[in-house]
Amino acid sequence: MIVVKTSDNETFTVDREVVERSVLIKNMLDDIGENSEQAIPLPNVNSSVLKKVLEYCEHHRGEPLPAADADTSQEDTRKRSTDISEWDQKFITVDQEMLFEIILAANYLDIKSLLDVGCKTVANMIKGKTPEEIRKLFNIVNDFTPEEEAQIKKENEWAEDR
Amino acid sequence: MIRRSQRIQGRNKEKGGTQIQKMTVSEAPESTNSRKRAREDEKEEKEEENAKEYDEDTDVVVQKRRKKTPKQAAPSKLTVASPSKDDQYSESSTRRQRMPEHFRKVRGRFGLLERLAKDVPLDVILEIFCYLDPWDLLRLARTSRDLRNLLMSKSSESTWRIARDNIEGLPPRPEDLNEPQYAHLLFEPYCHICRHSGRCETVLWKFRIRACKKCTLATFPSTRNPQYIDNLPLAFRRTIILPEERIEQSSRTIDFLANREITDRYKAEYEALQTEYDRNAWIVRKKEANAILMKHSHLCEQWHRARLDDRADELNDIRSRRKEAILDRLEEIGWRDEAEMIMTGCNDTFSDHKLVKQSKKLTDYGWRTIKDELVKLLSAEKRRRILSSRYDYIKEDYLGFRSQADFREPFPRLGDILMAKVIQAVITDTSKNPTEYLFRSKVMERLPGVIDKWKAAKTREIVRIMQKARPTATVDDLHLATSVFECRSCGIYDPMYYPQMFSHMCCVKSYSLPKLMKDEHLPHHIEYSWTSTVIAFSEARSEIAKTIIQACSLDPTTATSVDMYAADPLVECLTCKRGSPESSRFFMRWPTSIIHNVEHPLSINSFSEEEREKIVACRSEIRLPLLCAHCHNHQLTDDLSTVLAHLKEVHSEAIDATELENCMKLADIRKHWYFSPFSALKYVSVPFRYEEILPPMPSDVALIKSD
Repeated sequence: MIVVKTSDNETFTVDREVVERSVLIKNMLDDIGENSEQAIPLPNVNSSVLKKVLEYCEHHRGEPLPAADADTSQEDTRKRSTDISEWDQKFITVDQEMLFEIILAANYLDIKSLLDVGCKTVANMIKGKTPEEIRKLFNIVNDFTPEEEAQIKKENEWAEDR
Repeated sequence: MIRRSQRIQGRNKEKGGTQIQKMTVSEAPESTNSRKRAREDEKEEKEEENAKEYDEDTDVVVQKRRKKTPKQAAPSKLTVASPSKDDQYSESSTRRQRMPEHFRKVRGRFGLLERLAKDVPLDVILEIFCYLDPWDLLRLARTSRDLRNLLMSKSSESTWRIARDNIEGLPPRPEDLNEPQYAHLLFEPYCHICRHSGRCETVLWKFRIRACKKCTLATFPSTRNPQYIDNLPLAFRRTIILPEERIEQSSRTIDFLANREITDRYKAEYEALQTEYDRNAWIVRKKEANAILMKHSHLCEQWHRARLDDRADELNDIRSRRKEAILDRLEEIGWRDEAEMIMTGCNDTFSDHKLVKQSKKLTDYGWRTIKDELVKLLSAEKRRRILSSRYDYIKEDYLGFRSQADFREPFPRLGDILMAKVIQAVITDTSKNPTEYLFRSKVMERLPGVIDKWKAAKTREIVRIMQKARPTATVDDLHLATSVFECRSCGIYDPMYYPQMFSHMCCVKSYSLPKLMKDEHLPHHIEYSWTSTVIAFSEARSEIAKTIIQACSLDPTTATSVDMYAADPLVECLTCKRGSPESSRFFMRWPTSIIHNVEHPLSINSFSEEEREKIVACRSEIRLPLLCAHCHNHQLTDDLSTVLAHLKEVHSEAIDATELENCMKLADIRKHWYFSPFSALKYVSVPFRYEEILPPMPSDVALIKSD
């Protein structure tokens, strides 16, 4: 069993198989050795988020992990589906704050599949939305003047070519 | 892609005392720093507020927030996200406006993803973008300067490419377009020329533009335009090097359009070439390029059509699922059967209703908003259906009555029945919703009274018309042979006897049933009712009748039209003679003499017996239409054997057999038949000509002998 410590000083004792879905933790464990009883500090993850992350890892326990040296160029050419499995869909049905935290935690802990689920969820939220709706969703300030806004609809050149 | 961003790694180091500059989408240069600070202030406030809610489970939190969302304000289009000035989530905000509808479907609290845009590493942002399609990227690039700078940079080309690869079956990007330009052409759904906000699905792939028909025709000349052709170098006319777009001007006319811009560019390029060799090589290159362009355009068009078809299928699928969901909801409140009844009819107003035929999933909220209107629609349809069936019952019962009606008297049309207030009251009384049997009983109870009342009223109307010429006239006078009426609507002022006017077409007016009964729920039937407005008493023809009656030694004050048929006067028109010397004479039987030109002098029964026999022998054998006085609807002719055969075959039980056996002429069984009022006078007999064959003249005989 592995002990992890969150930013709010809460400790979780987790199966190694579960916690090793995080490449970050796996690498740390490899570094410090198996017999260390020291809690692994996770200063960027609070307890409520880690609870969710561990729930995810527990559910996906035993599933093959992506190869560490996955060919990124090959990855870029594949068709990206935004389909999310039913369980993951239910799991990620959280408020936007938690969704944001999960994405950050997945990125920090290097849990690729969870990061994918988070990214897909956000992508699905963006899909089909107008600029105004996207601004609202992300609280983005519209810093275009009305004239610029009309103009950008016509301009589709690369910035470097303008 | 590197999963662990530099910034996260940086953040770790930051904890340890080392600081690495962050790279985020919203990390703007100086201009956005103050905004960022303001956002951070607001973020702290929000976090405090959120902390209060986080004690409960997530679902509850989401639910709470959803309830709040409609209250959150969107002060104006351009000040949506000015957290420093307008704290949208503050309880004390008094400037909140109703949330625009298109935002209500966004899950959770709005704007919380702001942190995603600000704090999530760039590579995660780009990872998210890779799940989008180019159209989403194009719209993202129009949300803010930061995102535009990020996405419209050549360094983001791979993101665009990955996004493009997400589109199934999309032809590869042509070399002359960059990623955003291709996305713009593929997905921007409005006319690129007039920029009208309505959808435009006409893409001129070879011209790299999307344009509505109006703009297309106004912008691009026809390839057959003489002015355009004159401007082309000769070499351009011989080979297919210029892109052309096919357009359907109308359903039958197809035209090909050219793009002046491309033409001018090509022309300039071509004319800049100095040698024949260069020019020929240039033409070969352009020809090849055009072939590639045509092939690519064809692929694009195929993809576009398939996409539109898929979208149409998708929308139809959503619509049918919505309809099924609505039907399920209606079932819960007992209205499904009514809706299904409409759906199985020839005019499915339910499926086509604007609230049903939406390509939008039905939600609980959506159902609550449409429920009342749908129930109202179904109630109205139910009422219409009930009224329609009632109308059919009345029609059936009316026809039952009509089949037994004696047409020696007027009989109302269905419209006259429906106009009767007592019948209208029975039809429109849907309060108790009686069974068919009860409803029909009510109608049958009232129908005889309505018919009798109508008969009496309309007969009085005809008498009143006659009284204008004969003030002392009564109902009894209607049957006199001198009571001739005419229609003022017919071109020839069609003469008629009572009750022929009740089957005269000019006296029938049509009307829309719902309009007449002032009930929009009634089925839309066109019905007919009778009117006397075009009927007038014909004094001139009455005088002719009087003269003919007197010539028959009958009393004009008592002789009926039936008497005149029996008298069978032979009338000659002294004007309508033909030939010389008057070899062809014009004769009429009753009642043709009544309908003849009133100006023409007549000779009545003033022929010797021998002459009369000769004349009568020439008359045409037109049979007068009769109706059986027992079954009324059986058409007969004034042929004794036909009438006897019908009476013996159908009415032998009601008629004394000896009466029929001893009958020598039609007049003997007068009570068993009557002249049909349905045939106009002009059709019941035709005039005829009598041509006297004169003996040869003595001089002619002498000539024959000498031969």
